[in-house]
Parts: sequence; C-alpha cells; structure tokens
Amino acid sequence: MIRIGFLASHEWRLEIPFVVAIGFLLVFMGLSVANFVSVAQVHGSLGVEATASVGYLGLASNGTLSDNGTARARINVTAVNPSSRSLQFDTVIYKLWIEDLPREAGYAVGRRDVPIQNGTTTRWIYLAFSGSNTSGGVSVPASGRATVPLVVDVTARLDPYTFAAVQNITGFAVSHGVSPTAIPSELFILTSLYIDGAPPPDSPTAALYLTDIVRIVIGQGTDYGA
Amino acid sequence: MARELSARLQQAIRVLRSVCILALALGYAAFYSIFPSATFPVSGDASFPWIFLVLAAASVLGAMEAGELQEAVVAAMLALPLGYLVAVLLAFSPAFAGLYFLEPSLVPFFMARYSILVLALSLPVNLGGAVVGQLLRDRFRGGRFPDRLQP
Repeated sequence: MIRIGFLASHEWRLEIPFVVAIGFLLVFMGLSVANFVSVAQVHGSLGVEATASVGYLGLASNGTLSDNGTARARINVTAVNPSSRSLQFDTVIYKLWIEDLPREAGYAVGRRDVPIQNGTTTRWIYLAFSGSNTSGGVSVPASGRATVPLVVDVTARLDPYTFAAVQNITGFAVSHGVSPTAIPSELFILTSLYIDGAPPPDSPTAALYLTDIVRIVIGQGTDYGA
Repeated sequence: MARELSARLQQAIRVLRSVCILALALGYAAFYSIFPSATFPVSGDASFPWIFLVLAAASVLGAMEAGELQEAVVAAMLALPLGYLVAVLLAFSPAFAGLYFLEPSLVPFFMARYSILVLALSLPVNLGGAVVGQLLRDRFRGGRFPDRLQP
C-alpha cells in the first residue's frame, strides 16, 4: 500500500469531496453573513425626513377660505439610505394637525382637539389631514435618498366636518392678522419600506419577525392621536 | 505506549474533522432556516429540501472522514452543540460590524427557539449519514461494512 504521511492513497481521494464541501459551506456562510450584515445595516442606518406645508386655494377677497375653496397639504417624505441595499417605499401614513387658534383664544369650538402640554401652557391642535398612501414604485437607491411627494386636499365636498373646522381656524387667523399659511402645524408620518432582494415570506403562518426583517417601519414626529 | 497515544490522537483528529463539517453544515442550515430572506440563497421561506440536502451531504462526507462508525456517531453527537454555536455566531455577525439586529442577550434564546426543528432533524440525519458514509468509505477501501463494526 502506498502511503503519503499517515493517509493511504484512497484516503486522499476521500479528502477531495470533503475539502470541496467545506469550501462550499464556507462560501455559503460568507455570502449569508454578508447578506445578513447588509440587511442589518439598513435597519441600523435608514433615516426619514418629512416636511409639510399647507396652502389654501379659493380664498375670498378678505383672505378667508371660501366654501368652495380647498385646503391643500403638501407632504414630502424623504428616505435617507446610507446602506448598500436599495429599498422600495411601501406605505406612508401621515397626520397633519394645525393649531386651533380659536380654541386657544378661549372660544368653545365643539370639535375634537388634542392638547399639547408645553410647560405651563397648553396648545390645542386639530387633525386636519390624515390618511395613508401606498407608494409602490418609488425606490430608494443604495447610498442615496428618494422622496414621496403627497398632496392632500380637504374640501367641503370631500369632508365637510373637517373643512368647516379648517375654515373656522383660518378665518380666525385672518381676522387676527395672521396669514392662514402661517398657522403652526404638527406633522407625524410613519412609513414602511421593503429591502430589495429580500423577499417577504410567502407562507401566511410565517413568524412575524420574518416580515420585520425585510420591511422597515420608520417614523417622524409624535402621533397625538385623532 | 507512544503508538497507542498516536492512535488516540489520530482518532481525535478524525472525529474533529468530521465534527467540523457537521457543525458548519448544521450552523449554516439553522441560520438559513431562521433568516431565509437575509442569507444565501435568498428565499421568502426556508426550503426544507435545501436544509435536508445540506445536512445529509455533510453527514455522509463527515462520516467518511471518521475512521469507523463509532467515531462517526460521536461526531454526530458533538456536532449538535457546536452547530448551534456556529448558528449563534452567524446571528451575532452584524455585531462585529457594530450593528445590532437583535438584542445581543436574546440571540442564543432566539436561535434556540427558531432552530429547534433543524437541530432536532440533524441528529437522525447525521446518524443515518454516519451509516451511509461508512458504507461508502467501505466501498472505497474494498472491505465489508460488518467488519468495521468490530471493536
């Protein structure tokens, strides 16, 4: 029998598949770790920046919002992605409150406001714009940023109750020499994004963490409720 | 005495080599089964055929590394805790880059909870693979399998 060291020749032949298999396993583990770390990097580094502005269309000659006018909010939700993975916007949930100036001036307004305690003073805000938008198709490149622009209208036809409240608040502002666009507002957004190349589970009974891995939920601002 | 010591050492090395591939395969399979969408190959749900293939192939090759069935069985047993350890280390990998995907103290429990089926599957697969691997090795050597069961 020919021996090389302490292994016989047939044992050296057995070594080949063993070494190849170890090599394959190490490569698969390396690729898995690289993929896993890149996904973790997205979770650790993704940021969101949201801005909002409210404009008014169809103002009366005295500057107040007329009955056939429109209160229009423009909300820009920007995802800042420093990671090496690209992302896809899924859903944006938004809430935009405007300060209820008549309520703060002591008028009984009869609408559901939210109090914000700020030291000894209390601000009252009214939820004028809220909803969600499925923003499929907007992708965030790797090491880049992308913005979902939202335009939300409130009219007397769409939502008479909310429109009446906005009309009342803007009317009060104008009567006190404040431009309607200068009424302070509070924005809350919550958005979800999917990581490209990380498929969500197909099984309806899959553990919840499997969805949490591939879908990132990130927000800005405080949700003051309704 | 020296010869016996050398034989023992070689036996230990063979078991360790066998354990090495079994533990790597088990660790990888457990990790893949828990994070199928963030590993390689990427899939929405863990593929049972893939997990089985990895475990079965490793068990046969690992058993072929072992000198005899007894060594292969010992390696199969040792692979269970070591494979789990490999899976935990893989799950900790983002921490080496300063990222924490999971709360570090929870990782071992999380991995144990969600890899329990793969860990449980690995034992019979490794034991079955030990027998098959010894048969294949026996074919290469040209001997008979029952001879290898002799002490």
